[in-house]
Amino acid sequence: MHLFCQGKPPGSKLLRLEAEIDFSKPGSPVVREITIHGDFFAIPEEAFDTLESSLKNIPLEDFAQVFEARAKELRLQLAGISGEGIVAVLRSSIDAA
Amino acid sequence: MPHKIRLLETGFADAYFNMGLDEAILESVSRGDALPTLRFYGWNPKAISIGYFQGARQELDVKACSSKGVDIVRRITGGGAVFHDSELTYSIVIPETHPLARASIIDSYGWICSGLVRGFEILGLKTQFSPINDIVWEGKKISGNAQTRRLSCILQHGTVLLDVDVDEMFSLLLVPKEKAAGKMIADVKERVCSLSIALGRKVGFKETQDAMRQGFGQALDMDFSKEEPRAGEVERACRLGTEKFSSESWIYKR
Repeated sequence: MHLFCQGKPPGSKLLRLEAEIDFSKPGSPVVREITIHGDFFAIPEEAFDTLESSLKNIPLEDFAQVFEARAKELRLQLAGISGEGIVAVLRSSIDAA
Repeated sequence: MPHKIRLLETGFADAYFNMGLDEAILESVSRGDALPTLRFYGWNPKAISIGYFQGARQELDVKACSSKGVDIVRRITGGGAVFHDSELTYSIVIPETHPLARASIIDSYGWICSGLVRGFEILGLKTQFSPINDIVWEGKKISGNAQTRRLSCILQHGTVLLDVDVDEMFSLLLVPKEKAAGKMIADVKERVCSLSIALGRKVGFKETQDAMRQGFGQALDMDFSKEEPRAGEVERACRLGTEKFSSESWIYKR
């Protein structure tokens, strides 16, 4: 399923997401790839580009944890965005589909 | 003891030069070639800047911008899209090791914005810093700010709205779908404010620049040395403007 969705979960800026979600396997849906746009802050910015492009083939239930762990590895300072916020927007869109 | 700060009042320029000069200043402060720097400037022609993580086509009516002669530029800072028309813009560059620097993003927004809040107070307006990155008057946004950290320096730039044409602004900016219902558009428009609206009189660029300079000086204990940008910074800004900020690959990077 190809999703375009946006939302402003608590503590987040407006997040605009484009994601490929795979429901073919039993259990959690899998985020095959994702593009994250929005008016949030992530410093250094180029490290966020690296983080974003690494977010492939991740079960949705693990996504928030993986996002935060990789952000920490890349020493990103984030404001207005979180792994939980991204998952909240994705889940809301999946539920509405 | 007051902090020695270079003051640049560079007047009006186009979007690409403006963003180029902020980056050129960041580079020269980083190299130690210049003091920490506070710059005030304006925009001519009108422009919309988008945040580093925004998609130009998601945020803007690109055709409407083109037909109205409004430039589009991507910033090196995050944050949201800003319509730069009747406004004063500032940028401040300080090394991360400087006593004025704060480690956390939120703390440094609040700290640097205290200069603007004092500037608004000098103009007769009681405003508050509203985390993450706004300053509000009676709940309405009157200043937006954006920050990055590169080359061991903090760059924060932001706007002080002098006047605002909300109809023109929202003919260029795309309102998110969930805000598209008529009531919500009205709500978004009502949350935007300007100095002229708040003070009930026209407030000029120079008057605001003078107040904000005093505001930064008082709130952050700055001792200004007024200078012109160096020839090398102007040359670098022109090159960044031409080769980076006005390039399609940068503007439509996301």
